Amino acid sequence: MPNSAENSAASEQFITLLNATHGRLLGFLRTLLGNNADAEDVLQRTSLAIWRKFSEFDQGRDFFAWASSFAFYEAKNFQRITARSRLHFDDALMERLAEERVPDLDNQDARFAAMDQCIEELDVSGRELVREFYINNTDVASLAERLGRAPQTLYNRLNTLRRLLGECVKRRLGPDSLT
Amino acid sequence: MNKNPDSKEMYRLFLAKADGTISDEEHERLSQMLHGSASNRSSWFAFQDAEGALLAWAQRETLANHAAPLSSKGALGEHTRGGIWRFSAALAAGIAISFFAWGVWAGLPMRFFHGGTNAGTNVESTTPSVAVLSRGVDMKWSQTTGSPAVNAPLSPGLLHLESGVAEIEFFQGARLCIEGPAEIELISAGEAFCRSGRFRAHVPPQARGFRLRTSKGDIVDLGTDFGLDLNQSSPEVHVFKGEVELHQPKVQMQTLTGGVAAALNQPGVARTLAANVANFAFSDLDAGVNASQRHSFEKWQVSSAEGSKSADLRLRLDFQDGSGARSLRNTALHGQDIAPASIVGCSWTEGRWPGKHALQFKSLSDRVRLRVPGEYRQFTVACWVQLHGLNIRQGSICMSEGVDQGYVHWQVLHDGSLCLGIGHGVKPNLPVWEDFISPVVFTPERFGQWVHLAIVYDSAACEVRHYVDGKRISRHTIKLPVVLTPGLLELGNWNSPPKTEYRQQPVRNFIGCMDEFSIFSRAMTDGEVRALAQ
Repeated sequence: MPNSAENSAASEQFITLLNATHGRLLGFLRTLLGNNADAEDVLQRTSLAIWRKFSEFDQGRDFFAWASSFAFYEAKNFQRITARSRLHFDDALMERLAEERVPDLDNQDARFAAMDQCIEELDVSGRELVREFYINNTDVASLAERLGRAPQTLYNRLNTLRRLLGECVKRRLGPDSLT
Repeated sequence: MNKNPDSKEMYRLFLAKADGTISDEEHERLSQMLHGSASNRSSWFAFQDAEGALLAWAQRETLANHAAPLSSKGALGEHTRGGIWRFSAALAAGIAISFFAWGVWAGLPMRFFHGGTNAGTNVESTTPSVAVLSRGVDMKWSQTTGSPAVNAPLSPGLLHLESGVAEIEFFQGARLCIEGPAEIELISAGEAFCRSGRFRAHVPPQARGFRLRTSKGDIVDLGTDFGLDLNQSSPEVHVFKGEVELHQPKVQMQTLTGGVAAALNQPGVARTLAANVANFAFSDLDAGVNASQRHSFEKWQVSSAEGSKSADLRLRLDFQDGSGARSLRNTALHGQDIAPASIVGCSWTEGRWPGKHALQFKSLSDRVRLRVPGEYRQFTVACWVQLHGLNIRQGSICMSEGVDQGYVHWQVLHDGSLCLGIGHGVKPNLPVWEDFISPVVFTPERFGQWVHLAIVYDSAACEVRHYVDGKRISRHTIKLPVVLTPGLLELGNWNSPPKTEYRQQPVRNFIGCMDEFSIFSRAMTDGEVRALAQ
C-alpha cells in the first residue's frame, strides 16, 4: 500500500499532467460531442476515471494518449446514457474523428491565439453580443428576451459574426496550417 | 459540385450541432458530410476550436468587466456554486474545470485545488512599474497627478509632490529623495526627468548609470551620492561621494567628483563650488518617518476607542491583543454577546505602523474562527488586508461555515476581484448563491500594500456595494434580498458544509495579513465608509 508521501507525490504528478493536457482533452471531446457543455461533463467523468486508474499509468507513455483513450470511452458512454435526449455521431465516425483529431490538436493553440486577435476586430456591440451568447450557454431565447429582440434576428446576426470570426482565423493562420 | 453552397450548408449544420438545434434529418446529413471527407472533418475541427476560443474569450472578458450576470439560469438569476466554479475555472485553462462542481471532489487529493493562477496559460503577467514609493513624511501630492500610497509601485509618468518628502526606489537600485514642492517624471527603472524641486540620490554600484535629466542637462551617476537643487535661480548639482557625469548641450561632458558642486545654467563654465550637504538634510527621513508613524498610530488609537462605542457596531477585532495571544477580543461596546475569536495557526506581525499588530495568514490551516449570532437585514463589513499573492482560486476574507441560506462568503477571486456571495439555501441538492463580483482590485502592483476593503449589503436600496480604500468601486442590484445570518465565521479560511461526507476540504486560505475587522449592523453610506478607511 502506498504511504502518504508516495500518495502525495502521485497526486502532484497527476495534477501536473492533467493540467498540462486539460485544454487538449477538452478540444478532443468537443469534436466528438459537438458542444462545449457536453465536452466539459465528459471531461469531468474522464478526470475521475483516470485519477482512479492513475496507479496503472505507465510513466514511459504519453499521458495525453493514455488519457484520451479514457476520454473516448467516456464520450461513448455518455452518448449511450443520453441517447434519448441527444443526437450523436455513430461509432465509426467517432473513431475516425478521434483518430484524426489527435494530430489536428497541434493547431488548437494557434487557432485560439488567432481568435483572440480576430475578436478585437469586431465593434463593441458585436463583441458584447458574442460575449453574452457564450456566457449564457448559447441560450439565444433568453438573451433575445433580455435584449428585447426577435430571437431569429439575433441568432442570424450572431451566426454572421461567428462566420466572420471563423474566416478571420483561417485568414490569419493561412491555408497551410489547417492540415 | 458547387463547393460554395455546400460549405455554407455544412457550416450551418456545424452551428446547429453546436447549439443543440439540429434536427434528425440535419444530423444525418452532417454525419454523412463528416464521414465523406477528411477536409470536412478538418473544417469541423477548426470550427470547434473557434467555438472553444470564443467561449474562453467570453469568460475572460466577463470576469474582466464584471458587467454582466454570471448566468441567466433560474428565475432570479441565481446560479449554483458548481456553476461559478466551472465558470471561473475556465479562466485558468489547464485546470480541470469540472472538478470544481460540488460533490465530485471527495476522494480527490486536496492539492488538486492548488493549480496556480497561471498554471496553464501562456501569458505571463507584466507590470509597467519602474520604481516604488518606499516611504515619506507629510507627503501631499497634487490631485492632478494622483497620490501614490507607500509601497505602491510607480509607473512611468509625472509625479507632483506639493509638500513633504518622498523617497522613491528605482527598480535598478537607485534611491531618490524628493523634497516638495517638486515635479518629476519617471521614465524608466534607471532614469527620470526632474522639472523642479530638490533631490538627493544614492546610487549603489549596481545602479551605476542612473540618469537624472533636467532642462539644463543630464546627470549620469557612476555610483555615488549627489544632490540636485532646481529651486535656485541657478540650478546646482552637488556631489557628496563618488563621481557623476554632467552632460549639457553643446559643451563637453564634465566629470564632477566628491565634494564638488556645479551650477547648471552656465554650461561649460568650470565654476566649481563646495558641495553643501546641509542643503539636502531633508533626505534624512528616519526621524520624520518615525514621528509620522507614531502620530498616525496615536490618531488611530483615539478614533478606534471612540468608534467602538458606536451603537451599530457589532464586532470590531482590533488585533491589539498582544503578540502571542491566541484569541481576539471583540472591542465593540454593543457586541458583548460575541465571544472572543479563536486564532488557529497564523503568526503575529507588525500592522500598518510600529505598535499596531496584525495577523499573518500563510499556511493552509491558518484561520480565525468566531460566531456572530443574530439576523441582519443589512450590514457593512470592513477590514484592512495586505494581500501577498493570488495563487489559489478563491481566498477567504470572511466566510460562514457551510452554504446555507443567509450565509456570507466574502472572498478574493484568483483574478484579483472580490466576491460577496450570499447563500439562498440548498435547492434541490446544490447550494444556490447570489454573487456580487467587483472589478479587479488586486493586481500584482497591490500585493504587499495595506488596503482597506468594505462591503455593504443594503437591502433598503436593494444593492451591494464594494469599496476599496474608502472609494466605492462597484454597486450591484440584489435580486432577492435575504436575511443575513453570518453564524460561525472564519476569517482567512473556510470550512465546507460540516454535515456532508466530504473527507477533503476545499483550499480557500487567504495569503497575506489582516488587521482590524468590523461588522456594522446597518448599511453605511459612501461618506461613512470613506471615514472608516481614513
